[in-house]
Amino acid sequence: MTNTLLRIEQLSIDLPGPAGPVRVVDDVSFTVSAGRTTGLIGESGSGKSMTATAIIGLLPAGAAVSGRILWQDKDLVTMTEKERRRLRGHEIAMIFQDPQAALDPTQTIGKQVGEILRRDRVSKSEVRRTVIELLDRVGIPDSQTRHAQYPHQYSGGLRQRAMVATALAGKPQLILADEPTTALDVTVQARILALLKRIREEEGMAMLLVSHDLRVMAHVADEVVVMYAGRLCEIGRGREVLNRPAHPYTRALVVSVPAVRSKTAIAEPLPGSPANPAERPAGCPFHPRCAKAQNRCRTEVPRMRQIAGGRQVACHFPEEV
Amino acid sequence: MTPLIEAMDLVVNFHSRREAKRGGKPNAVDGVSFAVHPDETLAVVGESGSGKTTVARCVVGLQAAQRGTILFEGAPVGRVSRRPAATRRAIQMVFQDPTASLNPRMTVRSIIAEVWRTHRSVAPTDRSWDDAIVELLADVGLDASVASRRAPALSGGQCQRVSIARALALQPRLLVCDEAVSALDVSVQSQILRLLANLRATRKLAILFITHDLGVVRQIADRVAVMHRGRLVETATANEIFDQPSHPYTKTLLDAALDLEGA
Repeated sequence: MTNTLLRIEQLSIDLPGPAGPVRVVDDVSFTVSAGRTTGLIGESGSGKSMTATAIIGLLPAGAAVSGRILWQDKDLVTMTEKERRRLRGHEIAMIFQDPQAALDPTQTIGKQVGEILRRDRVSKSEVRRTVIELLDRVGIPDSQTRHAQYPHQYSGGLRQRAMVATALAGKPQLILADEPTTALDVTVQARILALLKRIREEEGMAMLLVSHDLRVMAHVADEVVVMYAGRLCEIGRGREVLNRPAHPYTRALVVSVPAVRSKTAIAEPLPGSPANPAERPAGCPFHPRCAKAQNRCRTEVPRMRQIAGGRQVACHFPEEV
Repeated sequence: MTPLIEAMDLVVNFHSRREAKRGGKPNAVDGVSFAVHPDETLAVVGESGSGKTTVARCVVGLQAAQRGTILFEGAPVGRVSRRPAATRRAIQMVFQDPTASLNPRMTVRSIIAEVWRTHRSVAPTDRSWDDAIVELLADVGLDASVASRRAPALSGGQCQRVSIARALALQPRLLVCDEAVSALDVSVQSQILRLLANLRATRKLAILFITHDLGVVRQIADRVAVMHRGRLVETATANEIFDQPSHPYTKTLLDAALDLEGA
């Protein structure tokens, strides 16, 4: 059996809104296993980034969280800020979408990568040595000079590599990566994905990859969790879910992705836009856009249930898998 | 057949005067030539910094080229302010960020009415503007109720439809789409691609489609121009580009692109 590192149980998050609290994450449960990459898939408003933000403990002020986020035997939801600080970076680290915004423009890359080491009172020469080693590991060329440079002297791809180095510095067991390649060009994206894969394998750490990009997921995710309007749709093994989706929404996503290596027709579009969590419809949140919707879907919220081979789906009428 | 639009040897640089004296940075667009025929979709693909957006801005006239000519139906055209009204109308642009390209304080109705006030010659005369607006919104798949709403109250896909409706209000011949579907959710992206494909067929529109997404290009383009560091490295039919790319850079791009299949 795989070793569960992170267990999310019935997580719900309410954010204050102009018309009262909005439930942006609703009753979400899944696990992340050691040494595996779990992909969290969703479109805008799906709650995927909020879920990741809750794990690292950076939710905006006023957010009300219920449920449990179990890290080993500690509950991150009830943990004090002081305990969480100790965890952040050392046990759980985060890679953000926009390295330009996440890196401090006034500090050298070396200083930012080594920040967590200095916090641990590692000696100056040791910090320098480790930083250069980390920059080498993530493939930043000429690390001896590059570590003293500022983010603006780095290209987008190199900045993202520096972010990865920063995340690795604390030797975390779990890396949360929120759209780590979305802002990058395709040729750079391929290299960063290969880097993340290599690092994850070398270190045996777990990764929770948050993305709307199914093509990225198909390449790196061992397990995928599909979310829509703050709720779970489907959980299963990455390749299996993307090859044979059980939930009509996953299926619609999969057929919408145009192929490069073969010519595909433009997919039959779904009507409407992704549901806004503030106006989540009754019953299944996907029913207004679902071709298979029946009366039951309009009134009864589908619960997550096991179907075949470790696959879980929240649909009254799932596809055979 | 005369091309609808033809770019010949376009050169654009963003040097300051001092940089130019020193020899300067490489040109953002460096000797680019291409043609778009009536009724054709030409995709310009490339990575960030390749110059594809600058080319689009030159075609629309938002950016002056230091060298080179753009011909519209055989006649040279310059910056948008120096173009005759008919040419300005004929070339319309749809931008990447659907919410940022619509004035948040204006209703959809007034956004569309504004272009008719500027270009009286295409303003409807046989029916009321309100009726014409409702009809136009229906053409892009929007409900009549959208007319009285403002951009912040619309979804990304709806905003992009409004942008397209605004362009169509001027009865353009060429639509320049700069990453027009890149900011949209995948489930909405195919709606807009379908819409563009339909409009192209029903309105005989030519489309210059700027994007980095090769999958989308394969679905909608007749021909593809590949840009790299300001230069056009290869222009060919979509089938040739995807099945027998000849330039090494095109091959690199295709190899790097991810697919759902074969992962």
